[in-house]
Amino acid sequence: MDFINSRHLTDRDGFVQVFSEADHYIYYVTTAPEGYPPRHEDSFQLTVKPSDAAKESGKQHDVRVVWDTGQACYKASPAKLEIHQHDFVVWHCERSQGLPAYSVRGQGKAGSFSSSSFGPEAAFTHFFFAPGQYRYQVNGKGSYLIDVLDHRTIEEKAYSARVSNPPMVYVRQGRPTPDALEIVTGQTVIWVAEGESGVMIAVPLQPEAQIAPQTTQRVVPPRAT
Amino acid sequence: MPSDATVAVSQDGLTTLLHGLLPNGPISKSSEVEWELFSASYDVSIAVSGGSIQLNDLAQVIRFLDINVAGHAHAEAACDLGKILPHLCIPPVQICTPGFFGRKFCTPQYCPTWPSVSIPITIPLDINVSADFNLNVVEDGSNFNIVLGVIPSSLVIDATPMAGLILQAVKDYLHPIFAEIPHIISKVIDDLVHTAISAFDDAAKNLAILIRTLLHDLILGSDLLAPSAGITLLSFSKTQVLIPSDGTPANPDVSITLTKLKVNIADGELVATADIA
Repeated sequence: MDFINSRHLTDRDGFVQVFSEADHYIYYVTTAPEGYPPRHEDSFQLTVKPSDAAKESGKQHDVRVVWDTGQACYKASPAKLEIHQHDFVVWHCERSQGLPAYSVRGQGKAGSFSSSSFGPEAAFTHFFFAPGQYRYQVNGKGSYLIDVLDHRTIEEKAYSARVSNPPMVYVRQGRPTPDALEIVTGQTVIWVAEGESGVMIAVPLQPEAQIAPQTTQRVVPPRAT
Repeated sequence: MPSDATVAVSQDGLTTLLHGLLPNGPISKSSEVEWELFSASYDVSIAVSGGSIQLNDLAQVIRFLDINVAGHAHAEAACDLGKILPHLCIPPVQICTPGFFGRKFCTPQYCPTWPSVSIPITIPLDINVSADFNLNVVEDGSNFNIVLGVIPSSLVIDATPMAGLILQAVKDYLHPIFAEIPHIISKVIDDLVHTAISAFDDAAKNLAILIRTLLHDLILGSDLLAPSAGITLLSFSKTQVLIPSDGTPANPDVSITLTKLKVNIADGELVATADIA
C-alpha cells in the first residue's frame, strides 16, 4: 500500500508553494526532522522578484530533487532559482526507492515555507500507485476516506478520461473538502491549504486498521468540486 | 576350433535383464550459472524406465531403444530489470489542471524503479532416449563377466523445445508485473515484455543447453548408463558344477573349468561361448 505523509516526501509526492511576495529564500531539501537544522546538507537559493502581473498569471517552476550518492543527501536542481511574484514552485523527486524521505524548508527575509507543515498558498500532492481504501488525517485528526480503484478493473479509454482530472482537496479549518473521494490508481490528489497554515496530511501507521484492500461494496462519495 | 560350451540369451531375455539395471526411483542433480546480466540455478529430477532391446549383429552393438525419461527441470532465472528496460515516467505526459489558485498546475510524474526478479521456471520432462552399448568380457578373479559399456555419443537429447518453454515462463511472469503499474497501457506492456524477452533470448537458449547437459550427465551418471566402468550384465563362475555331489565324500561335485569366454551378437541373440579346460 502507498505510504502517505506530507511530512515525509517520497517519489510519489510533490510539494507546491506559491510565492505572493518578493523575497530571497535560503532553503534545504533535508532528511532531518522538523526543528533540527540540516548538518551536512547543502542549501539552495530561491529569489522571488517583484512583479506587477496579475496573480493568475503566475507560472509553475519545477525543481528536481535528486539523491547525491557521494554526499548521501538530496540536492535541488536548479540549485539557484529566480521566479516572479505570484509564481509557484513544485519540488519533486522522480525516484527515491530505497532512499530516505525528505522535506523542503526555507527561510526568507520576511517569510518562510515548509513542506512539513504547509500553507498558506501551498499544496501537497500524492500519486496513488496501489489500490485500496485509505483513511487519512488532517493535522492528526479525523478520518477521511480515499477509495482507490485498481486501474486493471477499468477499461483503458474510461481510465484515461478519469486520470486526466487530478482532484483537489481544499483544507479549511483543519477539515478537507471534499471529505471523501473515489479515484483510480495512477491519479494524483492535490491537497491545497488556502488560508490555512501548518497543514499535515497523513495516513496513520496502523495499516491493518486504516488501510483496507478493496471490497466489493465501495463507498461512492460526492465528486470533488 | 569350435567352443566347448555355448549359452544364448534372447532379445526378450536381455530386455528383462536391462530393465533390472535401470535406476530404481528418481535421480536428480543441480547446478548454477552466472552471465553478465542474468544468473540461474537449475536442477533436474527424473525417473528412467521402459525401453526395448535391438541387437545389431553387424556393429556388434546392443541398442537400448525408447528409454523413457520422465520428471522435471526447475530453474530460477534472475536479473535486474533496471539494466535491460528503458527509463519510463508515468503518466507519459504531465497532467495539468487550471484551477490551482487560479493558475495552471501540472502534476509531477512518477518514474517506477524496475525490480530485480527471480523467475521460477518448471519444464516437464517426458522424453524417450536411446543408447548404444558395446560388449566386453572381463575377468574378475574367479568369474568371467559380460560387461556392457555405453557409447556416450549415442545418447542424444534435443534441448530445442526447452528454450521456448523458458521464454514463455519469463513472459508469463513479467506481464502481470508491468500490468500492475498504472498508466501503462496494454500496448506498452507488450513492448516492455518484448524488450525483456529479447534480452532473455540468448540466456534462455544457453540455459536450455545447460539443462540438457545436466540431464545428459544425470542419465550417464546412472549405473547402467555410466560410461566409465560399464555394468555387468551376466557373470559366469570359472568353475561350473556339472554333476553336484550327493553329499557323501565318495561322490564330490564334478566340475569343469572355463578357461576362456567370448561374447557376440548373432541371429538376434546374445551368445556366450566358452572354452573348457
